[in-house]
Amino acid sequence: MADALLELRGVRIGMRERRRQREIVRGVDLAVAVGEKLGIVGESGSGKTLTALSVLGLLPSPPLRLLAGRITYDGRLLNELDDKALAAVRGAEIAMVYQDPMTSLNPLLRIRTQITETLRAHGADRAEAAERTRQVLGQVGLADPERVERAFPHELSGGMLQRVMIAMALAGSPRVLIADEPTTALDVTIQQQILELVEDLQVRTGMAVVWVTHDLGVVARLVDRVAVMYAGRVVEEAATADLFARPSHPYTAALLGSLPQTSTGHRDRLTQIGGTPPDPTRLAAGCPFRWRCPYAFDRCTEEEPPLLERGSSRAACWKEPAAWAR
Amino acid sequence: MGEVILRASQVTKEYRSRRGPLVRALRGVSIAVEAGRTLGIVGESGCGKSTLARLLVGLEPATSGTVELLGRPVAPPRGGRSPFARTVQLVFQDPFSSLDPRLTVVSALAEVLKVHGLATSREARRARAAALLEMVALGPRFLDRYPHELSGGQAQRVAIARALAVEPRLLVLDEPTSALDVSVRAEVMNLLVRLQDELGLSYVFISHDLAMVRHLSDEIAVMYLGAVVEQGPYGPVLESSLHPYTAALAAAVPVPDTTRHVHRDGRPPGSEAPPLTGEPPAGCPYHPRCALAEPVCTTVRPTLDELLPGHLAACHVAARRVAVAPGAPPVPG
Ligand SMILES: Nc1ncnc2c1ncn2[C@@H]1O[C@H](COP(=O)(O)OP(=O)(O)OP(=O)(O)O)[C@@H](O)[C@H]1O
Ligand SMILES: Nc1ncnc2c1ncn2[C@@H]1O[C@H](COP(=O)(O)OP(=O)(O)OP(=O)(O)O)[C@@H](O)[C@H]1O
Ligand code: SF4
Ligand code: SF4
Ligand SMILES: [Mg+2]
Ligand SMILES: [Mg+2]
Repeated sequence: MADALLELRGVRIGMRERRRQREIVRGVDLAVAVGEKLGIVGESGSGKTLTALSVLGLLPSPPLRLLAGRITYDGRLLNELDDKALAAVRGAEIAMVYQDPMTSLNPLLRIRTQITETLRAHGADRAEAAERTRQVLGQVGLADPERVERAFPHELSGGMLQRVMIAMALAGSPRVLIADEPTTALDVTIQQQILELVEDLQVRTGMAVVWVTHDLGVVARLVDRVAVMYAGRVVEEAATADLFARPSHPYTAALLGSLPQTSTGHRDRLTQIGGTPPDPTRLAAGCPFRWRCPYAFDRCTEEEPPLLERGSSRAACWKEPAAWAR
Repeated sequence: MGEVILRASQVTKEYRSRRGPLVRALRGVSIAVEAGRTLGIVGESGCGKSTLARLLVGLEPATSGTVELLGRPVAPPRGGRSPFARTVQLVFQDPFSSLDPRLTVVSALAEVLKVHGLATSREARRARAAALLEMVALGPRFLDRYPHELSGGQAQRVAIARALAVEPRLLVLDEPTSALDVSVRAEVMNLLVRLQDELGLSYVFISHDLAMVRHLSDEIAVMYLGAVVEQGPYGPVLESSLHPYTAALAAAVPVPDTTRHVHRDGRPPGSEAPPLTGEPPAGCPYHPRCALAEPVCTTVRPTLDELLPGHLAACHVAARRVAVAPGAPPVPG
């Protein structure tokens, strides 16, 4: 793999309490190279958003904080930068599309003001900022960019807001785009348009992309590599084609097995993974998937598996896929 | 036909914002929902689905037209609670904006239970709240969380649990599974089917996820630019679409394929949608993007007519094809 542009090593996120540390994200390693597209999928609540937020120092702290780990961007250690230096990286070098648009948009300001202000903070003059704002809003498939520019956030639909967020992130021509569930409110046709826009930028400018999503169709369509998260860890990492063809972790296999099948009848029961995910802050020893895993054996209750090589993939499971069929 | 529990007739909604243009978000929508059944609503971003959802539950007044629940108008609540708060509940598209940031999950659930007299003691309310969370695959550890301590998918499920707390007869669900992984999504969908079978709930199910809309809905209404352009039983609407817009929508669904890496069916309809402001385009609102458009489409607006039994569409070409050859697929591949 080419050199990483953005790299997370041993990232742990949680709370420090009087006597002990409570970890939600429990040691995550991720890397993206220039022009590469990485997908992050996984269980709801597994720590995808917190991991993404930690990159730009945006964790809701207190109480949450980066407990350990290194986040490097282009040779710089981001987690040791002061607020001012981080603010300079934010938007211009690494831009983020947030899962919840309302947390990052100011409800009292027009969309235009919010985008131009960010651009001006990074040195664009008034005319440049206005021009660029119009341009990016046009690129994300908004039917009426002039109205959107003048609107307040509450006057826009869910999908319009998502596209505003994407436009805002792309406005500063970032070198890394981190997008957290950016297209959940978009129909497939507009989603397609957004994916094409992102791919175009990635090819033309070498923008690296980290795309967090539950939409496995988007994963198949967009990204080169996928990291699967479960209970605060990456449990599988694989090239996209390999992940779909040969999942190496039982959770990945179960997730793919939960995709609706064309053979499933109207209103018939959809396949789901039984049981509930554990509380990552109160894990006992052993594999956190063992209560739900059809292949669990003795060792799984004793020791949590690290990421192990499985062909060209890596998976945190003691059992090789070949041994799954009991 | 079963009992109609919700009926919207020729509903329009206009927004006039400060210094902004007039936005015609809904341009005459009529729908009906029967007891124990599901109406799915699909359509591209910005076509008016969430606006319709708010009108259906009486959160906002319509500019014209009527919305009736159980035969009585859903008046917008003036300060107080709507008389229908126990009959109908809305699960908002953005779960965080609908949860009070100052209330823990248990307080939010207990509050609705208390208001509706559904659990009398504190302990009973906490137990009921835990049971509601369990239904949406969240353990009791989430009872004492504040909304900002929840992930996107957890907040979405809390919002669903809160809507279910009052035991409504009709649930309007606006993108209720968009933040869920496929397994939890399956779990929530299974819950919705089960509650409908057991309690006879009715749903209005709004989603961009056509597979889920197809799975749950009895009827589907397809919206385009603030109007319904096709409506009918789920199978015919999605598989033998009458309207070219529906056909394009149904063909564009990407399928994650486990054998081939990328799999793309169909292309999105050409250019972008015309704006909602100003005068609507003359003729059929879809004509600037429609591959089948004919001269008449640019001048005469097609009406929503029942072209096949129970299957309505607003399209000149579909109307003619159905009249000429009732058996043939109206919109060829
Ligand atoms: N401020 C907080 N305090 C305590 N716990 C928190 C806080 N914020 C998030 N959590 C918990 O941390 C876990 C990870 O949250 P995160 O938002 O990263 O999940 P996610 O993988 O993005 O899930 P989703 O797919 O549902 O968005 C969740 O279980 C959540 O409840
Ligand atoms: N309060 C408001 N003031 C002005 N315009 C509004 C207001 N609320 C909604 N609109 C406009 O009405 C149109 C319909 O919005 P709505 O939220 O109903 O769309 P939607 O179909 O739910 O879209 P999405 O799929 O993106 O959620 C949009 O163009 C939106 O900008
Ligand atoms: S380590 Fe054991 S319990 Fe965990 S996924 Fe592998 S087989 Fe299942
Ligand atoms: S009326 Fe004409 S323009 Fe409109 S959908 Fe039908 S064929 Fe297309
Ligand atoms: Mg998230
Ligand atoms: Mg909406």
